[in-house]
Order: sequence, then structure tokens, then C-alpha cells
Amino acid sequence: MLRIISNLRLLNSFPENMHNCQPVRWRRKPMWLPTAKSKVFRVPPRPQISEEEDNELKRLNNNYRTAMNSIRRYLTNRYSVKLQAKADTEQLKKAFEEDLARCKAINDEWNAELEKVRNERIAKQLEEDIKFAENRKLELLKREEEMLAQAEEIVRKEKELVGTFITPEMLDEAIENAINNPVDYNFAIDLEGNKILGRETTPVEKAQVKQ
Amino acid sequence: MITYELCLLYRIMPKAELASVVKRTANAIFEKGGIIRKLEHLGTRDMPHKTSIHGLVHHKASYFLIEFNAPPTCIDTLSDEYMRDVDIIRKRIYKKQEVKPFECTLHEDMLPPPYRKSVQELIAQAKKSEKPKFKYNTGLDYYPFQK
Repeated sequence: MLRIISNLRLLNSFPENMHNCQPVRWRRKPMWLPTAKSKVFRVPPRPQISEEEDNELKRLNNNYRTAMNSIRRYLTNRYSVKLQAKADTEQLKKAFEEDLARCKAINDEWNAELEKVRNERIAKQLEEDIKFAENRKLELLKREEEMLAQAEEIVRKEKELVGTFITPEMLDEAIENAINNPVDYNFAIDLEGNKILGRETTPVEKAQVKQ
Repeated sequence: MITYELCLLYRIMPKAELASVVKRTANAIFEKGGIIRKLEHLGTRDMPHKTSIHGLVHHKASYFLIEFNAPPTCIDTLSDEYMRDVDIIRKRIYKKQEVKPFECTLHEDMLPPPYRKSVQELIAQAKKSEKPKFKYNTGLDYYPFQK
């Protein structure tokens, strides 16, 4: 319908019975408008091509492609300047071999250089690895020694303390001693940094107790 | 070898009875194969709050400290045993912590606040989180126009 009306407008000739029609400027729906609500869920049917027709179409297409390729190749061979210059196969082969020999020489040179670098690198790496392993070994030994020394120190301290431990035999005496001599760990620090020992020590005694 | 500290609060008793009760406590450790390193009396005084245990309310207690080594497996048993002792008001077993060496920084702490290192660190931290302020570059220390 849109098409009809715009075509009519182009013609600029309205028939008598279409005076009430509104001419439309564009016959297509603009891009920015969404799909019509009635068409949103429409699934267009797949084109049904029969097997015979399909085969025929394939055959025709194959023929067309083959012919086109053939023509293109013929024209390329016929008119290409490059190909004509190198038509001499003997010369081509010789040139190719020369080029290959040159490339090989360069490649060998590079390989030799790289081999030298690689050998140096590997030697250096090996040296570093050996050094690292030796260092680790030394560190491990050192740590073991330190641990042993620490353990020895603990044992030595404990051995010194063994004499002061309370055994079941001297328990009565120790208890008696403890009850008679209460210990007081509490202390206070005044503004001058003096340590005032004792829980019940009064500030008067402060002056006498110095750190 | 773990050294434990056993803090004990005994009910108020005559000296002889107290001695026997402490002996009972100590013997429990010996029975478990433990060693007593130190036994101290921290005085008899008021508790911070009244404590009711074994059907009695106590306001005062004798404080004792026992340092000992014992197999860790028997600590629970010891704890349970002391809990059922009617002469013990409170008890707790701690692992003894080694005192780390430290330096006395009292003279630094006595300085006025702006000179203290900790305060200076705080100020630096606060300055770091300050947002950059727009500079007018007018050479004036005030904004010359109406804001």
C-alpha cells in the first residue's frame, strides 16, 4: 500500500476517487522502529527446494565455478609478465638452488653464533646452580647448628634450675616457707619513673624506694 | 616440655590446715608424674568479688601460685580434681609465657604529646589521608570574592 501511494505521488497525478488519501513520504519503515507487534513471533518458512532442483542448481553452479577458474587461470598465464619471465625452468631451478645455498650459509652462521651463546649461558647457569646448592647446604648446616645450640642452651638452663625444683621430700618445708613469706609482684610507677614495689605500700614510702 | 602456671585461691583456713591442703594439691601433680618448679604464696586478701562455691560464699582467699611441668594429657584430669576440691575456691592453669626482652620507653612516653613518636606517626597518617585542596594561586591567604 505504501509503495502504491508513494508511486502515485511520484507521478503527481491523483485519480479522482483518491482525494482522501494521505500521501506518504517514505515507502519503507524507518530503521529505528521496532518489529511490528504482529510480526514479532513470526517464523518465516524455510524455502522448500526439491531434491532434483537442488541437484540441478549445484551442477550449474559447479560448472560455472569451474569455467570461471579456468578462464582466470588462462588469462593469468597468458598475460602475466612475471610468469613469462620465469618460464625457463632450468634457470629457475638454478636460481632457486643458489638462493637456498645462500640461505643455508646464513642459517649455519646464525646457528653457530647461537650455539656459542647457548653454551656460555648453560655453563653460567650450571655454575650458578652449583653455587646456590652449596649455599643452601651451608645454610642448612648453619641452621642445624643454631638449633642444636639453642637446644643445648635450654638444657643447660634447665640443669642449672634442677637444684631449685621442689621434690616430694622437701615439699613440707617449701610449703612452710611459702606460707611464711608471701610474695607480692605488684608495683606502681610514679611520674619520675620510680618503681614503688608492693600492693599496700603508701606514697610516703615512695621517696625511699628508687629504681 | 611445657611449663604450666597453676593459680589457686584457697578458702581461709588455719595455717596447719592450709599447709596440708597445699600439700594435697602438690601431691596431685607428683602423682601424675609432674615436677614442681616453684611454689609461692601471694598473700591472703579480699577477692575482687564474692564467690560462691561448694555451697559457701567466700569474700576472702589465700592466693597461691605453683609453677610445674606435667604431661599435657593429665592437665584436664588435674583441673577436674582441683575443681572437686572443697578447699579450692578458684583455680586456673596457664601455659607459662617466656618474657620477651624489651626496652623501657617511659622517658619517651612522658614527653608532651606532639613530641611522642606514636603521636607523630598518627599525625603523618592523618596527613596522608587528607584530600588535595584546590589552590587559587592569588597570593592571598583568603578568598577575595564573595563565596
